[in-house]
Amino acid sequence: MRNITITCLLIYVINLLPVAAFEIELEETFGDNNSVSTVQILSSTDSERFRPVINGFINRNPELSVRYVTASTAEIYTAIATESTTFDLVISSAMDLQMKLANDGFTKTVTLAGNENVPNWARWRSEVFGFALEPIVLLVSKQDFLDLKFPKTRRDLLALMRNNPDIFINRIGTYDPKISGAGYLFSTQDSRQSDTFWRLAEVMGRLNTKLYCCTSKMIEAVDSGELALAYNVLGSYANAELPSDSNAQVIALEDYTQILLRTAVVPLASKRPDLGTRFLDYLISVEGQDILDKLAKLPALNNFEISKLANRKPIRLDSGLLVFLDKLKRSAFLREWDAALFQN
Amino acid sequence: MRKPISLRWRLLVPLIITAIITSALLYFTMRQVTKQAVQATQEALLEKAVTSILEQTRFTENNVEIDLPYNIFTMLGAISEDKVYYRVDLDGLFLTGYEDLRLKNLTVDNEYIFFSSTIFRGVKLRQATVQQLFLVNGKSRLIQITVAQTQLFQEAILRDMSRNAGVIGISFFGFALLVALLATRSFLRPINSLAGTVSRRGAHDLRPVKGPTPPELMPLVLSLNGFISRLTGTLRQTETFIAEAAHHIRTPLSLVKSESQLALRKSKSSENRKHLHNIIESVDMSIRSAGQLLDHALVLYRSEKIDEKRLDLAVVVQHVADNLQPAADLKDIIIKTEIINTGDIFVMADRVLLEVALRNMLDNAIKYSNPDQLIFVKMVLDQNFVRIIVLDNGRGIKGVKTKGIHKRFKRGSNVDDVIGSGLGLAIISEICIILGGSFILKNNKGVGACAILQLPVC
Repeated sequence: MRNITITCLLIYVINLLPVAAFEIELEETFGDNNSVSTVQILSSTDSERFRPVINGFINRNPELSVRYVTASTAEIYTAIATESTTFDLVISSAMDLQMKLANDGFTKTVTLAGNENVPNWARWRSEVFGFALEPIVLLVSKQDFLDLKFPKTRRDLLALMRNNPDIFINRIGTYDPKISGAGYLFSTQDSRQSDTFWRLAEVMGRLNTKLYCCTSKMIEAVDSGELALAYNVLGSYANAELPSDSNAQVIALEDYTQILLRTAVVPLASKRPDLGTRFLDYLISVEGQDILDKLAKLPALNNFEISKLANRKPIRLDSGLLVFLDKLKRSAFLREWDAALFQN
Repeated sequence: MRKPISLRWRLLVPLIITAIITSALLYFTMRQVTKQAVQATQEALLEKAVTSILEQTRFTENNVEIDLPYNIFTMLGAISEDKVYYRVDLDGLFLTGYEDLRLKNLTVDNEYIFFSSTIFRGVKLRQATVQQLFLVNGKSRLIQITVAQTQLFQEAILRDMSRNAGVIGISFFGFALLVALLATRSFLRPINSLAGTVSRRGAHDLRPVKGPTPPELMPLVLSLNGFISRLTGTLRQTETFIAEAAHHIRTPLSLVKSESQLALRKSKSSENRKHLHNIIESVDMSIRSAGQLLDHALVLYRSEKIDEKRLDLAVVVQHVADNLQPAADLKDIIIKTEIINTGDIFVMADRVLLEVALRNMLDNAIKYSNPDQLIFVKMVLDQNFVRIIVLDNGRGIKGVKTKGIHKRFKRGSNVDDVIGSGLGLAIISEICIILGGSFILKNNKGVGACAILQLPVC
């Protein structure tokens, strides 16, 4: 157990060290090859999902093309904070890392034309702007719940797991907070919301929960029936990727449902901050929000489904987010997490 | 010599300086108070942050546990969206947070919160530092905690505040300036009105200054009135002296004249007769001058106490013409008066003065006319004025410089052969001013001169 902890810490420390280049998942260029200029975007959102918005932007600005680079949220942070990359816009679902970029002075103060489109709760200073919402949900496999009631709260979920170990052993999935920045954010925010979280973690540990790097793998696993449930899954991905006759069922827990903000910042190192600002302005424009919501299936800031969720708890975009990024705080949290999850 | 400072500036300058100082004080006080209030709020939050972290600090066997309180950090950002930095040191070695944040060096036994300002990554920070000694396994360990926050919010508030304070200060200054101007004006009004009263007076109006006067100006008014009365007294004495002198000269002169005429009649020697003629001529001139001096004194005297009455102009003119007819008869001159195109004309004037003026006009006409001529006196009504025109067939004033001709003892350049004192035109001009009219002397179209006295009718 202790060895594992140390290994994890080591991995984390190594990740924090400056590396030659950050790890790119995919790089794509949209628009005309002969365009006048190119908007450089670094994002954690799949280009597949983002394609409609990018195309919408290029339709509006035919003289521009878009270079869209996807990477994990942690890599994105590293790229901006420690490497001399020159992206014009950085989009990430890790609000805390985006906050830290802004707080530590890596982002530019931006004046948006459609400033009033972004409500106060969805922005920090004029540096971090939220443009889409993301409910964090529970995903269950319908075939395993034929005789069981869908859980409505975390308390229900706890009882369900305790009472049916034969169904759930080895068949629960959740984010690995050590690998995934988003997973770490969800877990830490969970731990702030209620004490139920630690009991949940312990029960999950006892049922030998599998840890995942990303939402899409968990969705696949639940859909195929490999997993009986996945905890803390990005709701929009589930809604977008699952066919209507899928085996997976999305559940927004009623005791509280965390709402994540997808945010964008314009890095200080950008060579064309005006282009980054232009893309951001498009994202928050009425047309951009509409495309995000309807075509990209990334819920817009005023998404109706989300606004009527019971007990929605938006993760607040403020300096509090910096706390769990502290290395002592992080190691303490992960120590607790390991203690709960790996009980053998 | 230095120019004396005007009363207006003497008053305005201190008032304006006071307004400027007050406005500036207002501006800086408001700014200072706001700055202190905002700073105090921020310091209270920072203090809460460092003490909370300190309270959450625990030592285990050979480790230290630091817990950053999430809610405190949220709160730090709640008032303003200012950036937050922190640093925790153990035994003088960096433990966590921002390593480039400079820690304020505190003496070891200090156990209170220390506030300081610093520059971090090019931005001004306000930071709170706290330290505490822990005794762990018999070893003392020093923990130092610093939390710092940018002051962008404070600056924004100060900017707003300064703008508001500036507007208020400038408005206050503008208001004070307006009040100062009004005060100065109202202060100077009695002085101006006094000056106006005195300056609007006619040349010979020497009545004392009356009317309501502020007590502060009373000494000025009293001394002015005293001066006026002294001047009046002196003038009157002079005039009385002149009048008496003229009278005293005229009487013996008349005697000399009649005695000379008698002697002339009796004298047989042509040389004696020639001498006597010369004496009579000189005496005539002297009598005439004395008469005009008397007239002039009269004009000056009457100007102080005008006795205005509504006069039928034709009657007055005719009266004067009749009086002068004997003198005209000596040169076989006929005076004709006529009113052109209208009925009776009335003027509001002092009869004595009007008569003196008309007599002098006619006297001049007779004096400069050749014998056997006609002198016309025409009265023409022109809207609110009447022009009394005296036309003669004399030498006129062709080629004569008219400038200064109305001054006392000044005569035209073509009259050296005719006896005269040079007072006639001066008397007419002065009467004109008193009666509110005007006097013009010009050449007639044919021969002779044309004297026009214009008076307002009533």
